[in-house]
Amino acid sequence: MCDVDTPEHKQPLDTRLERKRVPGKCIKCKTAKPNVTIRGCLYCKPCFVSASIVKFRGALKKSNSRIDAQRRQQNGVSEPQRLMVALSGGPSSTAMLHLVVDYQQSVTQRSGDFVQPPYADIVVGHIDESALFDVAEGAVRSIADGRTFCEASLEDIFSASADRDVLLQIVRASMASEQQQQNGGGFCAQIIRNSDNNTPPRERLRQLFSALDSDTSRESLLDAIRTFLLVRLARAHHCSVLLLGDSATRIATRVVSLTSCGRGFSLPFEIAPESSWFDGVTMIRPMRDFIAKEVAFFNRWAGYTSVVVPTFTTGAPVHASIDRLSETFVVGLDRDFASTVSTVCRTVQKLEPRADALAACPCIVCGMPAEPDAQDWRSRLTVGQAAAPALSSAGFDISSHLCYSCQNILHFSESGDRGGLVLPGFCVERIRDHAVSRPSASSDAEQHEALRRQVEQFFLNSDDEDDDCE
Amino acid sequence: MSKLAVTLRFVSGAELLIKDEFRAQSNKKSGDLEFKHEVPAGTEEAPLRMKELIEHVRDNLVKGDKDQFYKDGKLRPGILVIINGSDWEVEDGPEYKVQADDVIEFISTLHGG
Repeated sequence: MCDVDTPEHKQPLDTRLERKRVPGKCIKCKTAKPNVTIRGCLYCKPCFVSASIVKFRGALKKSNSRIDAQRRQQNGVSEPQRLMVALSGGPSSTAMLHLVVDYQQSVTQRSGDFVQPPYADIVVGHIDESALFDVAEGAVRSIADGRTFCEASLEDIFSASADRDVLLQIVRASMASEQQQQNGGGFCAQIIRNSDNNTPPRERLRQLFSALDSDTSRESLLDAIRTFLLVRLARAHHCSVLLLGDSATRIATRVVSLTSCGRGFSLPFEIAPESSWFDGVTMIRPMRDFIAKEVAFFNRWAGYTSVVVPTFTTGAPVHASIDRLSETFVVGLDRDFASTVSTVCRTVQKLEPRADALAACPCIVCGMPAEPDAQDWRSRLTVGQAAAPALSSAGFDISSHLCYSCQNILHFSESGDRGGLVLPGFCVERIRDHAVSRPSASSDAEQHEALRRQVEQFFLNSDDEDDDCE
Repeated sequence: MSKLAVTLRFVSGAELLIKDEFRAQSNKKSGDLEFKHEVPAGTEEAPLRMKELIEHVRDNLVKGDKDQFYKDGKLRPGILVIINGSDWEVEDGPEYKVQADDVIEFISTLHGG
């Protein structure tokens, strides 16, 4: 049996030979002239398209089975979920939408028998950024190709929503006093009720972004708002799964830029293949194994058209923002060392969130876990009695509710003549949600109750006002 | 010097780098740019290669900051080139000898174009 010369043992050798590349031919079919090279491998057009489909389904199935296992553990059963595809209209999310729809159809059409589809429904979620950028109207909607199209606008964060009046509430962050800034950049911020309710949401959004000091800050804040709106949109449409179109190139770029922006604490959540950080919505990144080049070729050959999604640094020099600089760095390295992107992605996929990150309270701006002692870490200066004069009695100190990176964003913003930075109402909502959800049995129950009461005032008063209006 | 007519396409953000005057020549309704363009053909001993064509595009078609397109003797990383439907890396890359009626496509894969 152990004789290596038996015919059975020769089989693997032949297979291995078959796997060998044929120089100058496609790595898969070994007969056709190649049309593209990906990480040093040659593919012909049909083989590349089918390999991409297989790769996408593989990544999605892997994520699905991990989520299913989690759900079974929690609920005992796992039903097909409603799925939302986050569609910016850019190449990666466009490809993702077509690929997931194609996957759903391929399963249901496989045989005449009834087969349970992987998802109960697939809807498209889009964030309209026309308040900040010029975008062609209706272009993204046409990519959705008749699927249920759910849309939210960036300025929605400042407008009232029918079911949640609290969104009306607008707060102000007041910056650290001059003295503190000189003392090594200590951070102190408080929110007070905003008295100006006449500025239209769009204008308010623009004011918020123009008050920030750099495009790096603007891109970070835009990211935070986009994530908030997508999660809210998914919840509103009862979708428990949200697909995000981050490609491998994008993930590798984000690893560098998020780290540089001081987001190391929340990094594992922001680049994870699956993340359940936000209650009730699991985010999946099924494009994580595609480099930008693969996405471009796939779209071209599959005939999918995408749009250009502008950012603050579109057309700007490479050093315009940390994100753009990181992209140039990663993409440049990847040109000379073809596996840079995949190596970075493979490495960071092994990152696990720390236990204290899982238990940490969310930053009220970005919603990501905020390191509890970010402030101490940032500087030895804490907000103590010395800072008290800067805080008005009606204010509520939010410094400890901000992550290190968002502290930076707000710290370097200009409040201008409006007396402060007008933050969207979801910031207060996040503090309240956290105050409500935290178990009151903890040792600091008293403190916690005080916090809850303090936050409540932002909402109670607004209700009173509404009553008056009626 | 004789001329060589090729079709140039700029898509997925690469079109933002091209001078507005070429938009009028484009036969695409969407933001994409596609137009016929004549380039100096080179000589018999030194026929026109992709490298020279890209330099021609940089000098004559690209607006504003040329570094956004071409820097240090190389196309900016993140811009893909497709020659007649194939990745230029499976052709000879910058050494590819341009033929009449070639369709040459520039695709930006950079975030935000």
